Amino acid sequence: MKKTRPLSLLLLLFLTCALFLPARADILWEPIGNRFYEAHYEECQVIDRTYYVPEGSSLNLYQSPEDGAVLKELNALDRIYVNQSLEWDGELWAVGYPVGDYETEGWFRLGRLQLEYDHQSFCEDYSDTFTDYEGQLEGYRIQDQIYSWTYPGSGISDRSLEEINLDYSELTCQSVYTDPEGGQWGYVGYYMGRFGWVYLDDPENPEPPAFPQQAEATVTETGPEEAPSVSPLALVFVLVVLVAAVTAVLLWRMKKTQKK
Amino acid sequence: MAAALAQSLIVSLLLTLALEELFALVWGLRGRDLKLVFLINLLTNPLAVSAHFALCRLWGLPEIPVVPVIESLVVLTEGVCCRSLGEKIRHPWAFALAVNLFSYGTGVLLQAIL
Repeated sequence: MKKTRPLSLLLLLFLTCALFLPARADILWEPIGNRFYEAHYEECQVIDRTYYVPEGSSLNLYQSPEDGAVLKELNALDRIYVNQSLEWDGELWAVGYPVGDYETEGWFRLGRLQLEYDHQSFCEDYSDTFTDYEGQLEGYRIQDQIYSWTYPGSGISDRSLEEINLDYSELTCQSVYTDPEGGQWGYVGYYMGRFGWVYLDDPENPEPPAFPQQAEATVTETGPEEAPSVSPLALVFVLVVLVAAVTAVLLWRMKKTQKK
Repeated sequence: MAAALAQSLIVSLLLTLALEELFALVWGLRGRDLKLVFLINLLTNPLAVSAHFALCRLWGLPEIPVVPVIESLVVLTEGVCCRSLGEKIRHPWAFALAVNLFSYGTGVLLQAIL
């Protein structure tokens, strides 16, 4: 018993210290091990939205805005999560990963992408029509899973709520929207890492009424994509080396003259 | 980005040449030795500025220890050149150290003021 007391005290001390550690539940995703990002993260602007490659176009993912090697090529209508953006060498670049392939993170030209209409877009357009939640989900019990949609009628469900580990008392909506057909949708805020709009009339319907919306046009660049332009910078470095080489030759000739 | 680097190179080189030639005159250098100071700065300054740009701006390495390392290499190179090529340079190593301290310090001061 005496031998375990110091160990117990140490464990208690460790646990007490752990209470002061910041919670990591809400940390925004960031690229890992990307040298260019680590050098320029302070210049980046947070976007945290999903875009897609417009029809008839394509998008290359690069290791950095200065690296011409293509990591992956995305096709038309492929969706991509945009984490942050950065103005680099006169172009607007962004970092993120293809939706469903978070391991292939890279940099890409944001101007080649179309913003996907999302919760933020929906709130900007319709928040003045939202009403208060009146307990529409109270007493509801999940049979299989409740689908959460990016916005009412989007047809895009990235998340779902299942009964496992679900605290029904926490299942509530922040706002309610009534769609053009009179259906009601409730916005479930952050809950165990899952959030989105729930079709209150039939929460477990995988195909609720669809009212797809279109975000404002964000594409500014079309046509074949060129590799990142590194040549101007490389040219400057080459010129510097040339100047140094010529100067070294002049100094060498000076040395020869001196010897004579 | 390339334009920013090119501008840095030109401004830094012109300023360094002006400051170091002035210092060399005060140190007592004349004629061929002044030409030598010109050439060794043409050799070291663009390389130092480019190295600093590449290491700190592109690669994100911290200013310390990059700047002290680069400046030490510059002093070393200029010291070697002054010693082996100088005609009447008194105390070439001291000169190389002093002239670089003078030009670097003045540059830092100007940046702080401007």
